[in-house]
Amino acid sequence: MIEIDDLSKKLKKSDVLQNITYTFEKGRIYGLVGKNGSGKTMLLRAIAGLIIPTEGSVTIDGKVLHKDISFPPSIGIIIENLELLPQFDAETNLKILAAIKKTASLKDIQHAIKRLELDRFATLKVRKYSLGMKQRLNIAQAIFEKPDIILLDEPTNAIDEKGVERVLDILQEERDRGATIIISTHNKDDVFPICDEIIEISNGRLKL
Amino acid sequence: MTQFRNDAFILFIVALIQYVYVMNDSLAHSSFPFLDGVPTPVSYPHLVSYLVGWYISIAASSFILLGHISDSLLDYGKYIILRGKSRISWLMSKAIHMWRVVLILVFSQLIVTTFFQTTLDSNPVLELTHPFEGILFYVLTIMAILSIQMILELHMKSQLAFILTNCYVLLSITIVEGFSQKKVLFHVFFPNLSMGFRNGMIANPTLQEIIGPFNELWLFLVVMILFLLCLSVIRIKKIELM
Repeated sequence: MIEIDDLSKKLKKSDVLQNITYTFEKGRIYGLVGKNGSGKTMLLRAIAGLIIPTEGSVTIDGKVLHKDISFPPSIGIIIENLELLPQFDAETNLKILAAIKKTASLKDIQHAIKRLELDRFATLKVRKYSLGMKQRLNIAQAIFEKPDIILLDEPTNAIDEKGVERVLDILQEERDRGATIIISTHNKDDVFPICDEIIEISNGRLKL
Repeated sequence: MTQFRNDAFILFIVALIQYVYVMNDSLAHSSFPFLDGVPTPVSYPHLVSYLVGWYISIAASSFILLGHISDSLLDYGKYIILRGKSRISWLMSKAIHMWRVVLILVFSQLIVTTFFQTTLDSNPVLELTHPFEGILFYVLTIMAILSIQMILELHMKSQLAFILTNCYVLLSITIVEGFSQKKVLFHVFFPNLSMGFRNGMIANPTLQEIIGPFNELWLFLVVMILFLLCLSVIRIKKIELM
């Protein structure tokens, strides 16, 4: 469970997040909707422990971020503009990441690649991937370790219609496994069908 | 792992180049020339020659670690850091990597020096009175220099941190020239402590007994490294991973 209590974040005197209080339950998919610059990505970063709140706190399963823990212990994330290592293929990329926590087996890696339908490009280096394929690999990177929390910033960007359907199926499977999923998007239509709750964010404030 | 093997290979080549460079000049050296550094006082042409011979390895290790911290906090590095146990454990892994780089450098220098001196049967001109302490000071000094680079990388771009660190090293060596009787300067500009000519390991009438005792020196360097590590820990806990 993710509990956000009166969270605010200032960056260069501008309030990017203001007094956000919300609880994200386990086994649910949340859609975080808002315009560009509304604070969606910043909220995801705060939940991931990447930024330090100016005020308030984020608590993950009873442990306060930046006090008890640095990052959520089990998290998968996609943040905008992040790419994997272009000189390696998909499997090698995931193997490198898997070596850090050592919670995912080779089977888990291959399964994630197959789920995202990237197994056809097994030997292809990531530098030769299209944008959509890179995004699929990013999603594979976020789910292959079966994390408790999955944060996805614009996950359907650059993915074709059929691919989006596949991604939404996968996210529902992850929810059924018990993961808390938060999807930030400005494209409501893509993710609306699978979200258990939609949260709107505007000027750094949640509209509840 | 492949990257680390490449780094180790580069450091070995650097040790080789450094030895060939030092042996090719006509200046006096000890049995471990990489520990000699720059004598003081020294004439300008000799200063440059000695300085380059000593500085090659410092610059190489600093260059190998360029972006080691700051680049890892950007882009792909976030996927890595988020999978770690904590920000501090991530920083410690980086510090351990720095130690590995320094130890591989010094180990390579020792191998190269021993190999060539055995096979070429060359006799060093200068006597190194405490080689073990000399190596210890050398390792600790390089580690302290790289620790400065580490903390700077937590505050600024890696290229700027690299330039500032190396300017400090070069300034330290040259500024002490002319103030060699002031012991405190050797602590403020501690890169001098790695040099046999300046820490009293090589008989040098102008400096002998001035900086020592040795126990105080290595303790000073250890405290310096720990202090810089503590500053880095404080910084990494507050840094925004945007």
